[in-house]
Amino acid sequence: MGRSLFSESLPKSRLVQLGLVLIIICLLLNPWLFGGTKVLGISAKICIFILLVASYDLLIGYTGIISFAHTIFFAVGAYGVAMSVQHFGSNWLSITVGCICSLILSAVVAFFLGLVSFRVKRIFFAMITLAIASAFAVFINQNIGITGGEDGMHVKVPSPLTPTFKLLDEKFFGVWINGKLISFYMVFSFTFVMILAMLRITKSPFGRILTAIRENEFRTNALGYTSNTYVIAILVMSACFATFAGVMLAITNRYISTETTITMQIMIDILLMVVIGGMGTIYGAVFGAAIVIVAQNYIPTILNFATSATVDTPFQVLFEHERWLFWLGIVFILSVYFFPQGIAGRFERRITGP
Amino acid sequence: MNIVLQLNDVNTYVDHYHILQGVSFQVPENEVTILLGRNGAGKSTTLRSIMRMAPAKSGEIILFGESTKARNTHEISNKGVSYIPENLGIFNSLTVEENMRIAAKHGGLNYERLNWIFGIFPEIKKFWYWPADRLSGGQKQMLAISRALIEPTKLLIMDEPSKGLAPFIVDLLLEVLQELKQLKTTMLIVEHDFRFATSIGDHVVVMDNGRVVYQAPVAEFSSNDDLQKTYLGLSLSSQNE
Amino acid sequence: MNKLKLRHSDLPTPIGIAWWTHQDTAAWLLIPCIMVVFLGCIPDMSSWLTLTVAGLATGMMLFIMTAGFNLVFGLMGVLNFGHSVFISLGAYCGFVVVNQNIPALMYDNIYLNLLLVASAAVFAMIIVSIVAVIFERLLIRRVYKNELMQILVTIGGLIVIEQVIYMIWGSESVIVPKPLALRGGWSSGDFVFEKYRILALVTGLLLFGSLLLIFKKTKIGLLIRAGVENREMVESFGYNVSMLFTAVFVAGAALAALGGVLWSFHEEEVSAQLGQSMMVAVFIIAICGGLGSIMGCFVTALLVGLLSNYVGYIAQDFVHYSTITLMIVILIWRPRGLIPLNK
Repeated sequence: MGRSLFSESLPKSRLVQLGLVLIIICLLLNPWLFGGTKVLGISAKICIFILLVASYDLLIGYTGIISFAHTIFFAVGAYGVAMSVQHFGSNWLSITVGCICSLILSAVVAFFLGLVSFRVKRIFFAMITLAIASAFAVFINQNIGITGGEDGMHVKVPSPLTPTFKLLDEKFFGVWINGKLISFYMVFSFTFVMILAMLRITKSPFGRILTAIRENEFRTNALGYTSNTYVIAILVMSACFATFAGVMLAITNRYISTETTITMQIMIDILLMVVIGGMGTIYGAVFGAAIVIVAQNYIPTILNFATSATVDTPFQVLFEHERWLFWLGIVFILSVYFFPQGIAGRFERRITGP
Repeated sequence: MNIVLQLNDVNTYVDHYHILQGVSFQVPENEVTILLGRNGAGKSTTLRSIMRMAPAKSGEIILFGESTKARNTHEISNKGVSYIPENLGIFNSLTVEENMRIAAKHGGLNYERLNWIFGIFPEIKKFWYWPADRLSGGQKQMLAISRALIEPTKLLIMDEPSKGLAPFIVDLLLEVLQELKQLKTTMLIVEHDFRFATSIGDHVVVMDNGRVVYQAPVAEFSSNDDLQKTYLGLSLSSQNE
Repeated sequence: MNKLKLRHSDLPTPIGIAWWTHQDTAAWLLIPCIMVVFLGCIPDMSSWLTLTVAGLATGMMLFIMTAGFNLVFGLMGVLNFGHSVFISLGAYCGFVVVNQNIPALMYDNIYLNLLLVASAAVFAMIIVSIVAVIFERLLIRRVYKNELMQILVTIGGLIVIEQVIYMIWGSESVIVPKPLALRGGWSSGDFVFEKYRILALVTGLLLFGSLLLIFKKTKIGLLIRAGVENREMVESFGYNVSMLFTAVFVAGAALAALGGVLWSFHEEEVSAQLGQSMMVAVFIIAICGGLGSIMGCFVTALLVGLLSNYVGYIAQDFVHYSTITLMIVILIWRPRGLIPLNK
């Protein structure tokens, strides 16, 4: 049953399989393995980004289309839910309504972007999406009344998801089952299901046609498949998955802002994760998200250590707390060179040949 | 006899297709070597491998006595090699004059040589200031050949120079190549036109499926109808019928 | 001596100027069009005049900042996401020169002031050129063919260099005051003509003119134009195109630095975010102008400059959207840019 569920999309390399299982277990059992709200928060963020990055991989890994508009869909999902909850109260209905509205908006934007992509060259398309994403960011920042501007918005979630809610009256194997835990498992299972869905899509005939389009668009058209239709379909799908990730962010984080959704920083994070994890694999997103987010959270600690070690030397400025981006940039460049296929990709190649 | 160019067991991949599967042949000095073969045999790829535009994955290419393994295309060109690709490589956004200027790398346009070329192809002079993309196919071919001739060259490599040319221009071209032969130029020509090949060629190298299947002097090849039929699907005598 | 024995009577008349077509004229006409449109929107003639001059000056500076990116993209097919960091770095290098010569800011001598600005620019261009050589060798060389890798690697470079700027100069913005003789302007009623704008206009025009000249009349320009079309073929004639590309890349970076210096004096302030804030504008101008097209870049830069100034006056909030709308409109009309290279 496991085989059919995963529908031949299991990674072939033992090492990759092991890594995948390890990460899933760590995420699943993190309250018992590691404990604490910080780890829980990091795990939730990892799940959200797995979904977001996998949705991006669906686009870039399978069709080869480079887009910087992905953060738009993420933000739409987040802000849709936030605004809905603000106007209709914090209940499941308003969350669902917000979610559906966001999906519709994302689908429309993705559709429009798809139309644009046919008119211009691929590389133009990349820059255009950047410009449009920046327009969205400006819009969100300017309309403080609706979106809270740069200060962001708080999201009042239904009571089972709040930190003070307790499911059981006593600890479960040493851990309180509170709202935060519940919302984490909600995200985890949701992400899990979505990833399976994406895997199913890529292994289906639809997915195969996409790969054919990436390899040789002209030929695919000649065979009778209108490539444009497929490209638009995958754009819309990928946008919807990203929107779901945004919805999850709003619910678990209970606070959203442009900083956490639509900035260039987020887009760079996505790119980094997709590169490190491996493009065109979907489950590469698991590796990428896990590694980058864990690194992001523990690099400052390392930096602090280095700062104290280099105090009073001119090198101190290299290790200042705010300069972690510098090191991220170096890591970014190195991983593009040495991991061009990402972790999943690299080990896969060894098994399946040149 | 000096060997200007030698290929030893050259293997070339284009993307992941194994095009050249162990190509070996020689190009002797001051003579014309014709590379024949069916479509898809790997002739153009061989030329591109020599020019290092499609670098060989394994095997050796020895040019003027030196291995070209670590050389770039421009270095090979500067050793005295001129190359006319099948698609001519005309710079369409430039004028005829500008195309010729680029070809005249060492020291600018030599007017004596230019006048010689004008004598052979008067249309180049006529369309001197025209944008190259306004030329007809045949005129572009003349321009491509003019570019290769504007500077003295030791090895001239051409990919189907007579393609699409009217018969009398082909005769003109043959005359030019004969003149070049007198001027001690070595030539390696890929051709389909059998008559053209045999009238100018000294040696024949036949390729099929990415390998060299036959090498001989032209006389031997043109007298052997069976060989011709096997490798080219036609023969000289049948062409004359 | 060996004069080319071509008499012009031998040749048919060249068909106009081979490189100017009707489509180009249509593109250039957009500039007066936009001026007239906003003449209608802005009731006050002298305000319109002020904005027009300001818009043209801004456009010139944008052109200088973008020309390099456009060239590199057009010739090498390389998308350098790090281009905008050359703008910031240039601006900061200019600041260094100004900072060392604060008293010179107070001389009321136009020539000395221009000398100060020029030295700031030259210093910036030299430093940025050095950085650009390293950037190209280390990062760009290896990813020539792969678009995605280019984007990623150059973003990485952008981040790293930007962080180095933070390390050297801190995260606060710095002040770059205009030298005395370049401050202020002349006014007549509501029309204000700032002196500094002349510098921007003149530099922009000079640069445009020289670039066109280099392109059309010199061997290097010839090689670049041919290389845009068919790099392999140019190499087969014996030219080291890799070195040519590096040279173009470095020139592009130097131009960005120049643009950054001019902009820094104009705004009288520089922050490390300067580059990122210019990035979107640079992209829009490059795409809408046409890959590798100097004229297209020039026209679009002026359009963007004018538009931002006009819209900024009427409705401040909509400036960003107006630029994007312009981009969409231009691309619908001409998907390959206003004046693409290969027609």
